[in-house]
Amino acid sequence: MKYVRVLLTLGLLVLITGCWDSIELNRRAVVSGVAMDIIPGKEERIKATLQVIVADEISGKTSRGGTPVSVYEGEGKTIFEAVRNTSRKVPRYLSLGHISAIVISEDLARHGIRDLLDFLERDAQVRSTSLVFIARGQQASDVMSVLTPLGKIPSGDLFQKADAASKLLGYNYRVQIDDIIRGMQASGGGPVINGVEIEGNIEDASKSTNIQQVDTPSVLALSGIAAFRKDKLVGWLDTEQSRGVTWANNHMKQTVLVTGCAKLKGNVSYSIIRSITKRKGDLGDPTHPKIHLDVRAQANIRELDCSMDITNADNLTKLQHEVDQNIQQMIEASIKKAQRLHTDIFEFGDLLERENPKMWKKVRAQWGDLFPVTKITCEVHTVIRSAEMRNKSYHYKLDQTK
Amino acid sequence: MKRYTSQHKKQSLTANAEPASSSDSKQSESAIGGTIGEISGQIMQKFGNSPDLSLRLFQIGQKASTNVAIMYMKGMVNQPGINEFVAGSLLSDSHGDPDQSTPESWMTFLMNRALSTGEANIVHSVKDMILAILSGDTVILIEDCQDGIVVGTRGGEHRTITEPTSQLVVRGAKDSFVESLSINLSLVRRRIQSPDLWLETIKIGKNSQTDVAMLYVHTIAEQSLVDEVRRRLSSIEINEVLESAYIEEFIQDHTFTPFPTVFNTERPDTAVSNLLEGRVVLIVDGTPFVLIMPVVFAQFFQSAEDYSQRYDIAILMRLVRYLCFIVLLLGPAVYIALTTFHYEMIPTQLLISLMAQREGVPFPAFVEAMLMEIAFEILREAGVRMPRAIGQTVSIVGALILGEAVVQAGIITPVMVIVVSLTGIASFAVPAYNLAIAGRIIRFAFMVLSGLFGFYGITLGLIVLVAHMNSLRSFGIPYMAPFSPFVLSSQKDAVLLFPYWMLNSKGQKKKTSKIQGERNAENKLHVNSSNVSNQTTPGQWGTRKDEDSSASPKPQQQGGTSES
Amino acid sequence: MEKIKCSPYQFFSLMILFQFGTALVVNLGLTAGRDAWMAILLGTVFGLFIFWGFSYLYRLFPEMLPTDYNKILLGKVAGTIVSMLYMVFFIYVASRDLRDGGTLILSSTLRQTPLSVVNALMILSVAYVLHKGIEVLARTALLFMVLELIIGLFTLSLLVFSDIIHWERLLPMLEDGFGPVWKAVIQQDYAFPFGEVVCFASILPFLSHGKLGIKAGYLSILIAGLVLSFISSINIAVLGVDMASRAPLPLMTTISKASITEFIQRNDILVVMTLIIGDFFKVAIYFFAALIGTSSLSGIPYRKLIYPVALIIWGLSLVVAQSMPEHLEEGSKVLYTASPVFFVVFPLLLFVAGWIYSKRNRGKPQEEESAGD
Repeated sequence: MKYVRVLLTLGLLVLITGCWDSIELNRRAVVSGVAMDIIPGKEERIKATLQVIVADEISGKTSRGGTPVSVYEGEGKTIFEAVRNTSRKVPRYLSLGHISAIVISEDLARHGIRDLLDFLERDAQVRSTSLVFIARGQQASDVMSVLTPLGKIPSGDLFQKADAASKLLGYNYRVQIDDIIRGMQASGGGPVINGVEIEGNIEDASKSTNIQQVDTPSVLALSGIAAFRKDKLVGWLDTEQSRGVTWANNHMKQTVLVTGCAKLKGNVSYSIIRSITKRKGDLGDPTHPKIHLDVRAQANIRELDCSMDITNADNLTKLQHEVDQNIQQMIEASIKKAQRLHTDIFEFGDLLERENPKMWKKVRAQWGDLFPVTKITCEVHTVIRSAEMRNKSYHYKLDQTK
Repeated sequence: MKRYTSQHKKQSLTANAEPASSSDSKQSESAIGGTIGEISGQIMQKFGNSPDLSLRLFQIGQKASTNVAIMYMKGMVNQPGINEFVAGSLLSDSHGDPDQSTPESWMTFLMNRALSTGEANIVHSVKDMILAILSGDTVILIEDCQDGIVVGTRGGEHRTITEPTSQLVVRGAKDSFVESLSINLSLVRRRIQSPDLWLETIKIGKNSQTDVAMLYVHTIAEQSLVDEVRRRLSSIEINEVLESAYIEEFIQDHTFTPFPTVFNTERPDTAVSNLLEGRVVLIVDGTPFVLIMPVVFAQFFQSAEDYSQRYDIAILMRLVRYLCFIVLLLGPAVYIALTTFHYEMIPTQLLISLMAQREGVPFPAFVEAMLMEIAFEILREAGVRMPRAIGQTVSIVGALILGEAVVQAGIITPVMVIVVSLTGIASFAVPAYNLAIAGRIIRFAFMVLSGLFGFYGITLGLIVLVAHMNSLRSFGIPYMAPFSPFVLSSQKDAVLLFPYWMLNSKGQKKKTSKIQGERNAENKLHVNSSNVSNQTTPGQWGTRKDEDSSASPKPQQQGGTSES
Repeated sequence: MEKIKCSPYQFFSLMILFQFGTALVVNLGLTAGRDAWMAILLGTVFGLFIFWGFSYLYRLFPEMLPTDYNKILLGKVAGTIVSMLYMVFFIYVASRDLRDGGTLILSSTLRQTPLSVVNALMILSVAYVLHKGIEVLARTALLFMVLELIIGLFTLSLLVFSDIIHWERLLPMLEDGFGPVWKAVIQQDYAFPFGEVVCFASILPFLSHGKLGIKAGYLSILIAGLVLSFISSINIAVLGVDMASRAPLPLMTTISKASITEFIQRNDILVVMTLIIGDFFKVAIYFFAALIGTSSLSGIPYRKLIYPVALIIWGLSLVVAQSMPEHLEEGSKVLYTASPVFFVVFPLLLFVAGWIYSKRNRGKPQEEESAGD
């Protein structure tokens, strides 16, 4: 009797099912990237471009020679509406769970990004590890349509570019959605977002001919860092300045530095292998806040194109000094630019808040104006660890003979 | 198997080569005078004048002679033994004569003087004589005597001791039980050379009258357990017992569960090690599979091999077996859940290739999984019954058809084939076949759950399954001991296996405490030392203790007192 | 009543799983902002105190259910009324927890499935396990605690290796003084989840080892408090206090940020599993407490009550609120009004009555009428 009841319950359970949530994989359109553009006009509308993976082309046996991804566009008042509008064109369920790159056009960024991120943050499927980019001077939908030779999915390619570059070059660092939100909430400041642009012909970038040549005509390249004040883009930082930002924010992992050879002729190239930036703030005097950065870096000599004798410890100290100055200049350049743009992209506000909460409360509202006049000092100590497989360079001998 | 319901038609006796005077027809039997004729006639009639029942008449005695007849079942007896020790000793002249010529004194004379067989008992009823004949003993009838003498002459052809067919090991003993009860008993006795190994027999099965022997080491096993097993055995009512599984069904705790609560094995060393842990072993005549009870879940993952290899390998292997069980249960279910509900959990690259595979496939993942699993079960069933000659062909055909062709035709995705074959192989890695069966049944339930509700269904299913397993008991021991009532001492041999010198640190005592520890941990009873005292005669039915209870209580005391 | 015994290990795991329940994954104490972890620790103290009180009562009346000794301590009528109120409260909280769990599952994974089905599945499983008895529940708890331990360690190592923990986000501490912390404790943290150990009073009589079991209870509250506060602080360290307080399931967001080498990603399923397991045990224990009390008050054997009560809880869980915000709002209202009564007032009453009772020696039952209710 007991069993009859159990079976009956189970049977009823089966009857009321409908597998509401189960969607077969081949009924999904897996979106790997989203691009957002602004459509100018009386009412601002947002254009969303979704990069959908065409699985067949990538690994199926039935590839028809098409492209590995397809883009679909849709418009709407908000980003969510725009995304949903693309379903007029996409034959399957839009599945946003594998988005790896989000690109926002510069125009839209200058207009303000505050309305774009809530959807992305709120959705349960969107990954919080996706990286955000700004299409520099171009349409984000174009950036989304570039075919890349390495890595079949362009968004994945972009993601990995940012990843690799942040680890090797230090011109940028990974910026995820929640970093942006936190950045927007920092008082007097704003987030930084990596820039990307298409180098080469934009038209041809989306054709498969793009990847059929050894020398790819159109390439996606990372390009500088965009600085925001609150939610609007206010300026760009390039090369030296962007590295300075990375350094000041303690995100520097590895990078390349070229300096002169103390008093000798020639250049020395270093690879910075490790770097830690300690930041201290001093809000003793609320009208004159002070911030001090203390950078400790370790470097390896990778190229010694002068005849410096590095087996001598004094010489090493001289070289270290060169590096110190170099780094210091970079950091100061970035700070100056940020101060010119009136935006604290370094989260110094949070730093001061942590150091001196009571004082900060008084100053918080004016931090936007205080930041440009804050005195920020910086001290760098580099230690050269090794010089790979040689000590003195052959230049040493060369310069001795004639 | 034919049932014992029809009687043979009366057959005329044919001449056969045996030394029984089967030239006697029915008439001449009644021509055999007196009681012998009566009794033997009764017996013959009961057997329907079966031609394999032999009847041989003698006359013994020198000065005063009397008629004597022996009856036995051809083929079930040790024929040379009968010839020499029964017939030979009866017909020998060297014994002399009894004092008087009464049947009683002839009986005593035969018993004490003449018969040279190892066993000789007096039986009083025709029924007992029939039972004796059916067991392979010989009945000796004396003229004018209503009683008969039963001498032990069991023999007959039986399978030789070979390698076990199911629970194979690389290193370890390679003998297995056979169908004959006495040989099986000897295999056990040889390994436990201690008089503390007691056994009791009972005949079960109205028609088959199968001998079932219950073995236990009386100094280690708990009295209550032995009593319980005995009680359950004697309350079995069944027509025939052809396999130990018949008995298993009757004596296991009645719960609605696919999990086995009685262990079976073909290996004497497994049976012996379980005996030494305080368990009871049932040997059933006619099958090499013996039953062991009580049993806990962890035991199904132990193999005899664990003890013959190093402990570190054994630990690894055990963990692999547990992993295999989990794969068996959850493999297809997790696959279904991942691809239909939680696609975001799959790494992007893998997802792309999965999607590409799914492109041309008509069925949803759930249906695919069901189809493949059912096909695998079909293949498995077929493989069991294939005669060896075709066995190989079938496996090749199965692999090709189910694997390659189905994928080529675009009916099933390759990943599904991988998942199903992994699951299938994992099911073979579980040492106990009956547990693997339970796993196979349950995985279908999990597939349904995950097809409907994804990981939510799987998690809830897991909770319900674990709760169900926790509620099972095997003869009073919780099924999930030593995990669930957490017995620290038993962890030495549950999932991990400690080196032998750690396992046996206190010899018998530690091993004993396993079961008692499990019981104690659960209800905190204090076991009294009454187990040490000699046990009383078990009661209604004949025992076959080879050593009577004159054995004094051994100095090693029960582990039970140490465990609380 | 069945004489089933619950060993200290099992009791420990029951209590821990219960307290982890939904508290592990939701934002606990985040009304105190960055100092949430402090609020939780304070709540732990409160939980210890309540548990101490009930263990005191247990020692006075071992083997007796609260419904029984209520009658002794407060007089038959008052005692019965208090017990009945508790039963109703337990059923209500059980249905709220069921709804909690169901809604969280819906919003994170199964979006389209109707709430009724999700809840039905959960309550049926709970009913099945309870049908087998509290012993089975306790044993299952032991095994699942080990599982949660493993999951916890795994996710912790994931987080550490993903380099996303920024401890400085926890500073500055006590920025606005102790006020917010106190407020958070009073609003939420003393009750959820620590005050809820009240329902374990119904399980204490089943302990096999009184003293050891009580110790296990204290230990579990302590450990649960530490772990919960730690998790709260990790959430803030990874997400920042703003995001953490805006997310209904901050742990899920935290975990989904953890990724190692692009392969181990999106581990939120682990968090979902933890949530399901925790919620299951929470509902089960409330359910059981309600059952055992009702059965002792009404005399009906508790197995017969299982399915009717399950139906009630299920129905209630669907009706209790129409939307998630309403549900949360009701939750905080309940926490304001009802919990003080059930978690503070009644227990205090009982403790005081018990103390008075023990002073007048135990020979005299039922003559106590302490401060009326």
